[in-house]
Amino acid sequence: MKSGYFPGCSLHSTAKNYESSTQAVCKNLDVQLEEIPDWNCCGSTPAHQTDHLLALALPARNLALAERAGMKEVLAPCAACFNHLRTAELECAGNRETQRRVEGVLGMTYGNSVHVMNILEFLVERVGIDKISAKVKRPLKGLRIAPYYGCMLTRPAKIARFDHPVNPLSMDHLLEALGADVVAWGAKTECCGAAHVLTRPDVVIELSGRIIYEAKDSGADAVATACPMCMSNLDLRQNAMTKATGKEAKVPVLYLTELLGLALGISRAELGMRKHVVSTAPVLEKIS
Amino acid sequence: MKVLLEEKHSLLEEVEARSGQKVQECYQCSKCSGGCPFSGIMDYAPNSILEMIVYGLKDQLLSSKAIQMCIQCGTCGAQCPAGFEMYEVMNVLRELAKEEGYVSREVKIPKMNQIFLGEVRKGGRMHEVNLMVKNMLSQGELVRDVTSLIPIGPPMFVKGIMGMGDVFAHKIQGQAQVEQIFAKIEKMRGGVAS
Repeated sequence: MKSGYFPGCSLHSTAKNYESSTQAVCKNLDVQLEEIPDWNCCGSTPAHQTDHLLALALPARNLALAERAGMKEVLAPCAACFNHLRTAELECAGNRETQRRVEGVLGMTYGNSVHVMNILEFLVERVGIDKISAKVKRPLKGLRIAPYYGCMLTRPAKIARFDHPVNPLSMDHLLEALGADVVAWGAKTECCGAAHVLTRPDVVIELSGRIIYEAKDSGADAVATACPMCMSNLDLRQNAMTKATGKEAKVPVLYLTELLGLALGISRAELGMRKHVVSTAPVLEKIS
Repeated sequence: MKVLLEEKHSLLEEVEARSGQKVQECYQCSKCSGGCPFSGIMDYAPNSILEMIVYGLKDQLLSSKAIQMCIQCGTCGAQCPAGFEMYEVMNVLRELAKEEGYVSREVKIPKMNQIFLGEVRKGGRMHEVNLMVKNMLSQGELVRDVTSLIPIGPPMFVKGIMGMGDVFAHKIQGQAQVEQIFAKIEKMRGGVAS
C-alpha cells in the first residue's frame, strides 16, 4: 500500500522519534510513505488565531502539492497538522467561493482531491487492526498503558470526523490488539495546554500535570500519545509538575508508533527510543 | 459597562451570520466554561462571552484576553447541549477585533503568534529553536523563561531530542510561494495580515 505523507515541522526537529517510529512501523506493515515534496508549515494555532484565510492557505499549499504529485490520501502523524490540513480540506471542498479565494492567494490550482488522515485513522481504518495483530512479534503483555488522545485527533468533531470526540476508543482497541492492558482513565481527551506553554507555562504545567497524575493514579506504566506538542508538554515538564505539586510525576510518555514498533519487534535503535526525558527503561524492562 | 442598545444587537446578528452559530439558543448552562481548559485564566468565561454578544458589549469583548486564548480544542462544543461550536464564535470575534482595529488586553499570545508566523514566512517552516529564543527575548519574562528552560534544554540535547542540526533554520525551495501567500493576504487586509 502507498500513501502520501506530511511530516510537519515537529517531526523534523523535536519529534524525530515520532518520525523514525512512524517510518519504521509503516515499512514493517508494507506501507510506502511518499513525502509531499517541499511541504511548508501548516500554520498551526498561530495562523488559526491570526487570520482565517492564512490558516486555510498555508495547509492548502501542501494539499495542492500532494495533488500535483498524484496523491489521493495523506498521512499527517502530528495531531495538530492533521487538524489544520483537514480544516483546509473540508472548507475548500465544502465551498466553491472559499476554494477560489484559497487558490487566489496560493497562485496554484487545487481540485479538492486529497484526503488527510491522522495516524489512528490510518492504522485502524486503512491498515486494519487484524493485519497489525497478525504481525505482532512481541506482545506488550502486562504493560498497563493510558491511551491519551488529547484534543486534535477527535475534536472539533465536525473537522476531525473521526471516532468519538470525548470518549474515543480506536487507540484503546489498537493497544489491546498489541497485547497491552489498557487502563480506564478520565483524562484521555483532556487538553495538555498546547502552545500556551510559550506564554503561560504555569497553566500548561497544571493542565499537563493533571493528565500525568491521572495516569499515575490509574496505575498506568506509560502514557501513549500521537501528538508532538502533547509529548513535549507531558514528557519535558514532569520535573516542573513535581515541583509544583510536591508529588513525584515520573510517568514515561511514548508515541503510539513506538509502542506499536516494539510490539512488531522493531529494534529500539530504529524506533529512536532513547529520545525521552522521562526514562522509558521501566517500560522496556517489563516487556523484554 | 456600556450597553449599546442603539446598535440594535448588531453584534449578535454579525456573529450569528458569520459563525453560523445560533448564539441566542444558548441556555447558559455553563458547561462550555466548565470544560474549557483556559476559562480559569480568561477575563470572561465562554458562557459569559455568549451573553455579552447578546447584550452587544462589543468593546469589552473585542479587546478581551479570552478571545485570544481559544486554541480550538473543541472541548466546549463536545459538551454543549445546544449543539453549537463555540470555537466558531471565538474565531469570528477575533476576526472582528482585527478588522475593527481593537487592541487586545492579551499581549503575549498575539506576540508569540507573530514570531511563529514570521519564522514560517521567512523559511516556509517553523523553526523551533528560533521560535523559543525570539519568544523568550520578546515576552519580558526572561528570568522566568530561562529558569524554566534550565531543567529542559540540556536534557533535550543530551537525549538527542534536539541536535546541532536543529540550531540553524533552513529555507524550503518554495519559500517565495509561502511569502506570496502572506503578502497577498496582508494586502487584502490593508497591510496587517500577521
